[in-house]
Amino acid sequence: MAKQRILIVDDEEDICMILSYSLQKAGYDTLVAHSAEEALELLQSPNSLIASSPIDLILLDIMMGEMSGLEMAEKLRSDIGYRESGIGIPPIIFLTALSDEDTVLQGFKLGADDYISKPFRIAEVLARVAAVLRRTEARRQQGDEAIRQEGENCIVFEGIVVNKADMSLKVDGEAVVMTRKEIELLCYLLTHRGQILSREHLLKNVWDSNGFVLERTVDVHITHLRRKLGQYGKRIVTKSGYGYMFSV
Amino acid sequence: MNIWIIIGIGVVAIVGVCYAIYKRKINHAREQQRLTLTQNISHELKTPVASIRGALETILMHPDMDEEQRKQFIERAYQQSGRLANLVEDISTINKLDTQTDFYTRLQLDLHTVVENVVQDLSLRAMQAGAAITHNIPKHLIISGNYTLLYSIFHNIVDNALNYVEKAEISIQLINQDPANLYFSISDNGQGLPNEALAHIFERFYRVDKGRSRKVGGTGLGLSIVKHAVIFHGGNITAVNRQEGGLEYKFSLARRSK
Repeated sequence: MAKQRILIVDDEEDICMILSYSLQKAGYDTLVAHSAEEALELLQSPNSLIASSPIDLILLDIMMGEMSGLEMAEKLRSDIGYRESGIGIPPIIFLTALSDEDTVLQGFKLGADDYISKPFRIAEVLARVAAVLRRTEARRQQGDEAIRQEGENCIVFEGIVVNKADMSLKVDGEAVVMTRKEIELLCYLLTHRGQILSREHLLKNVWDSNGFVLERTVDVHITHLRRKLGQYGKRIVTKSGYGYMFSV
Repeated sequence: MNIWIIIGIGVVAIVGVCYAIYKRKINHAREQQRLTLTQNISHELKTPVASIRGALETILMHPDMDEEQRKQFIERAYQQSGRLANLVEDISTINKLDTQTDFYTRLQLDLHTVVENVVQDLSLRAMQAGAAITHNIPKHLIISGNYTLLYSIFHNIVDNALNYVEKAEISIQLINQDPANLYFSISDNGQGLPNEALAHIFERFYRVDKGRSRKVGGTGLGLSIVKHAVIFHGGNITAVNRQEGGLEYKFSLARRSK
């Protein structure tokens, strides 16, 4: 399984270095931002929403330059990109020297998953990070129960039953004729649900293409797929400028 | 006669009540200020402490850490402990200025000596930074004041200029005097400051450039101490952007203050 990625946001370089070191030693990948503005840029860039490198947790200081950690959390909550993607904001743990009751309550109100005061014990930070990630994973798995993999080749999502072996698709009980590529594309979208997949990414992974197939081909296949999926067609979401996604 | 006595009592009563309300408002505002300051101080102290403990804890947790990495962590912890020491010093000063001003005694002092000492103490740094500090304070400029605080006034302002202005040209001047007061100006040839910042720079822990401030070991209290020290000596201080560019601090000091 890929390493989980943790974004550390603190304007104190030393703290970032200390946390990075211990988190990496504990088996995580780390990213560092020294301001809320820098962090938001990282989080809202296409790379974070795309399959390859989502951010799994944010360790967030509060008192920073222009924008505070609290303001950043608020901005994230109202960010349309995250809402539509269905991934949801990564869980947030506030890690701050501000430990007065009002700030703590405000943090939780803004959706924080945990709140650690500075000075902190590194062992405690590691333990809480692991706990929050466990909770988040459990939540994600619960949401995933809508999709089941039955046997090696069959994927079920609500009324959709795709069978890779016999290249068949049933939508709400009715069989739909599909081409091989359409089945493969659908399977790929389903197994990567909630992630935004660029045309380039799809060309590489579904078409195995070396440039002989055009991106336009992807668009056409998506259109056909949407039509064939009937009421589930709208689950295939276009993220303008980024790519496609099967939304759950 | 009676009516006048009644009116007299009534006026006194009203004045008394107004005064009580006013006093309560002032106390509440001061209480709020003190609460904010306590929170700020707490936050400012906890931050370097967190770095020191974090660095040391990491070293203890990973005895197999490579030498280069360990050295880095130790250096950081050491630097942060210096920052902490400075903070404790400045907070103590601010505290004393706030609550125990009689802790600071006054003597007859020659400001020429004070300024000469400041320039002398900062000359090495100035040289290393390619900066120049000049003054026109005449000899035998006598003031009744506290040496430490007067020193802080000139030192902290010049120190700021050295930290934030490239190859600064810093000028300390006595621009005017009258029987009661002395008027000074300390200016540099830097970028000056944005106007919104000018209103706040004497506030505790206010920084225009937080990252830079930390790098140069700033505590955020330097100018606040300056302001308090100026007030202690019966004067006041403002900061303005010069027309020819750069920042100028203008302040007055009473020859005899209580």
